[in-house]
Amino acid sequence: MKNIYYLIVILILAVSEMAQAQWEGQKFISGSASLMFSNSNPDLQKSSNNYGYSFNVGLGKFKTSTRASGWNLNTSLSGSKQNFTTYNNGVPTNNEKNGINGLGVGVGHFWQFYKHFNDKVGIFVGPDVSFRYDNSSQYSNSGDGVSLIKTKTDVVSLSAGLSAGLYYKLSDKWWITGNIAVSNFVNTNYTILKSGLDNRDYDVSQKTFNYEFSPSFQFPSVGFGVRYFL
Amino acid sequence: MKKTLLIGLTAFIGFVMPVKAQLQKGTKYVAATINFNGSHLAIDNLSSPGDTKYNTFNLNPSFQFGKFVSENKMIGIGIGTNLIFQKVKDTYSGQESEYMNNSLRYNISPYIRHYKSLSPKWAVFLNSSVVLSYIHFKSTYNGEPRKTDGYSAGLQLTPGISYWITPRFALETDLNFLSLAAGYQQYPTSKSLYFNSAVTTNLTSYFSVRASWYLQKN
Repeated sequence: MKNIYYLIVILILAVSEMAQAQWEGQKFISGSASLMFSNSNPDLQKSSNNYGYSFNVGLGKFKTSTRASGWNLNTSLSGSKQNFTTYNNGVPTNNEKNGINGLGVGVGHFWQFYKHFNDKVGIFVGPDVSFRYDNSSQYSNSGDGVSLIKTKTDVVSLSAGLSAGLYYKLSDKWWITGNIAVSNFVNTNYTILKSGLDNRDYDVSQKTFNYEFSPSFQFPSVGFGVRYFL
Repeated sequence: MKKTLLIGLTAFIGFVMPVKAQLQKGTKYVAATINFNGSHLAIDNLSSPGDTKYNTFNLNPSFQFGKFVSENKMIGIGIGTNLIFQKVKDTYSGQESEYMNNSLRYNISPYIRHYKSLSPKWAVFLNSSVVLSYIHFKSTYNGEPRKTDGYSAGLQLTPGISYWITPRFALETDLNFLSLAAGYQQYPTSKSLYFNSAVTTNLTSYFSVRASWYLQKN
């Protein structure tokens, strides 16, 4: 019988926030990096390739033991070597396009509020705002196959959202974090697109402004990450 | 020791399964949500004397009013609109043409809602409603309007979750992936019967959030 009492007491202790590590002032870093390269060398056509990277770094600091805030920085780049065939009076011509065709940078600020269930496990929720710039220039065949079209796009986007996650403490220095739900309730973006025939001036200019307010969230939003305390 | 534990246990059980004051007979209920989005696109043809402008705007507000008729049971009415405005303006060699397309949908849905309290902060509910809609289409080409109407009527069963931030204020979301709907719809060019049973184990979904107030008379 006594064992049951002990069990109940332990359970209640585990649920309440009694045993608490002090997080105040602790700084942490999280991030992701991806590198990509692919090459294709068919027998009858010239070789083509794709390459790129994406880096994501998050830097945060606990202001109090239940509140943290920080910055997210993101940069990405992509490039390729592509071959396009166009037909001039029925004669096929190969157009090789080489170089960087996409570039993006983003910066965001986040605030997180924590509920530590016990020494190891807790949840966090908080708002974030982010700003992003993307640039791309792409080539495509025109509908009639005679010419090559180049398209240049600049996108500036601003968004605000909420996200919730949970953490598991592996050691003093390492945490595993997981997403639970995300919400991007405010989204705005402005796009400038220019297109035209290759080797000529752009002859179509297109400007788009999109905005959205939607108090909704996506659940579950699965994603895992690792966090290192400095 | 035993007494303390008994009190503790009672408090613990009380924490898990309270009789929630907000779900009592007489409590009034008001809820609202809104979402909107818009897009403005301008295309300039630099090599020919033409350009085009597209504008679209969607606005979806909805309101719910209700009253608890007994414990955990509410009857009420929901009203809402789905408004879509589209406008296309073409200019070619100084000649303008304008096309407008508006679709206005008005919904009214009386409902009965059953709550089940899970904790002081959480509750689930099942919303059974009759959904009546009237749709008004109006398209205008160079100032000449064309109007048509449509309507639809149906039954809908949707479960949902409430989370109380304060005793009077809660956030709610409908779990549309478990909903059941049947009805009849008559549009100007089509008549249709529909039956949708969205039951899926694929949980990933977008949930729309509604702000709600539980107002008790004192």
